Amino acid sequence: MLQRELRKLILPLLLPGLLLHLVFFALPVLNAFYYSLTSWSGITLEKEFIGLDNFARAFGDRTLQTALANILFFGIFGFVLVFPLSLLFAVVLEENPPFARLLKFVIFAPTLLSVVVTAVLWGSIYNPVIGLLNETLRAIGLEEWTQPWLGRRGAALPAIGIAMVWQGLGTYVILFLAGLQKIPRSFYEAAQLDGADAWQQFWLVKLPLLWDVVQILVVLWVINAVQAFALIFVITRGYPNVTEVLGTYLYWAGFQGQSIGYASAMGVIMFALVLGLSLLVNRLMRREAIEY
Amino acid sequence: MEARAKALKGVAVLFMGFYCLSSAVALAWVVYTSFKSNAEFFASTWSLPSQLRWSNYAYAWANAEMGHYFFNTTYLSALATAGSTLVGAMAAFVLARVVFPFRQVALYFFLAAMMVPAMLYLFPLFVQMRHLHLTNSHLGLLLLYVSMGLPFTIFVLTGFFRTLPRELEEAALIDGASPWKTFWMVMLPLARPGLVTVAIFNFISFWNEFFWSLILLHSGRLYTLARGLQTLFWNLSTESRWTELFAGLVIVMLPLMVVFMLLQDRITAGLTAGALKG
Repeated sequence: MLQRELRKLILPLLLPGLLLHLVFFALPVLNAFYYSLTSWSGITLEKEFIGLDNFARAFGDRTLQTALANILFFGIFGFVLVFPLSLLFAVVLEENPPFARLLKFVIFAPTLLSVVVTAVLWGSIYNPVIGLLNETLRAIGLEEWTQPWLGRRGAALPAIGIAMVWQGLGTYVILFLAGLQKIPRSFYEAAQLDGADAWQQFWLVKLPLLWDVVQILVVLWVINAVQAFALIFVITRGYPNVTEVLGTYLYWAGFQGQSIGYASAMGVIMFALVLGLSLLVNRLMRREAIEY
Repeated sequence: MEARAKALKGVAVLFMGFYCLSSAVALAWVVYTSFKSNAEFFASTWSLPSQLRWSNYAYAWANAEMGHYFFNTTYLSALATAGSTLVGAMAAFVLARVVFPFRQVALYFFLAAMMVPAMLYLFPLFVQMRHLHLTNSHLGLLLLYVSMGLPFTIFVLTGFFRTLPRELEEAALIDGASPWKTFWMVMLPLARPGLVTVAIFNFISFWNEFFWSLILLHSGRLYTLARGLQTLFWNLSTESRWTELFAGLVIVMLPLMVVFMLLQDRITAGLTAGALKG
């Protein structure tokens, strides 16, 4: 009786959302797969079907290879920084140090800011003439270390990676902190009775129990690295440059290079990478759940 | 043994203190530089302003039109938040509480969007929006925002609606309320804590949104804050007018900092709940 009455709500309540989702998500997604099989420039009316030619072209595209290599660099470099940092900060914050609220605010605030704010701030810090980084190096007598941070690949990739870590760190700290707070006190007491010091407790109690959080964190990080666009686009003013990634190359190819078909194929590649890598990470990191 | 742990902890605390201090100094640098004159700034990057020059703010707000963008962003974010939260709550209620065929399929159809990069459907969506005359239009951006907010809203609110006891709808329906009234007068008000959390997150994401306003807006008068700041950065850094740029940066940054200060616990709790459930 109850369900029969409630079913009258399906149409009026579900339809508006469903229509929006169909028009602004499902339809363009389907079209993206179709575009990726054409040589459409974006200007002509007809879209010529060319099968998988765009994907064959992608396979031999040197710029695309550089872009993917750069993503791999950002991904690994950023992870090597963000993972230990967020874990360390969470462990310290869990013990409620003085000013914990203020520290959390400072760590988390960048996460809430628009990516454009991060780009302008770090773009200014790395500026070779007025930038805070070169100025500080000069002030402390490390003049020879100063350089145009965004000009050379070896310096630009880590420089932008650090900006990404700065913006993303807060999320991971909060996640680790929540994971730590779920671990019952009695576990530490038991470990203490067995003679484990704080160091051993970290490795033998905390880290194994945080495995689920680590898994979420890795997936989130991988997804963000593959989709990287706005930060690099704004910092480098939208021009092709040494920090090219899949997102910036795709944008350039579609809007400046007039090859919507090829750009859509790169979009499909990005989607496949996001899906494939997150499934892979989940599979590699899968483990028996620990009950506590 | 304990000594080693203590020493490590000391190092960790020092390191975190150093990180937070650097981060705070960088943000403070932007704020106080926004009060300097360009001449002062070029004389010394680090020095404090000799006086509080509000003229940079006047320039950013009026001449560079950040005030105009502020208005655009505020009303677009507010409308998009209201639309997304409401339409999402309606769908979430049906998907969580009503049994019907393909219910799970419909739910996953919405949630799938959280795994799909915007870059995949960027070009087809752009072409489609142009056909509908929705490019370079606030209406187009608004409809897109409402639609974009649905997956997250539905994800959180289906979880919320499932926790409410069955007896609530039963009691309302048995008392003779129509199903329509039961939803609007009984169930939706009960979901208020969930709605508020979702609305805060939606608002922040719309306020910060950059990608689609870059793609869809061409005329300066329609720009949002994020789009306006990007243009300001590209223009003013070429002209070396850093102090005015930083005033613009503060205008974009400040409202969110204030919101975060007021709602810190709520935002961190909401983030944790959202991410750990997924």
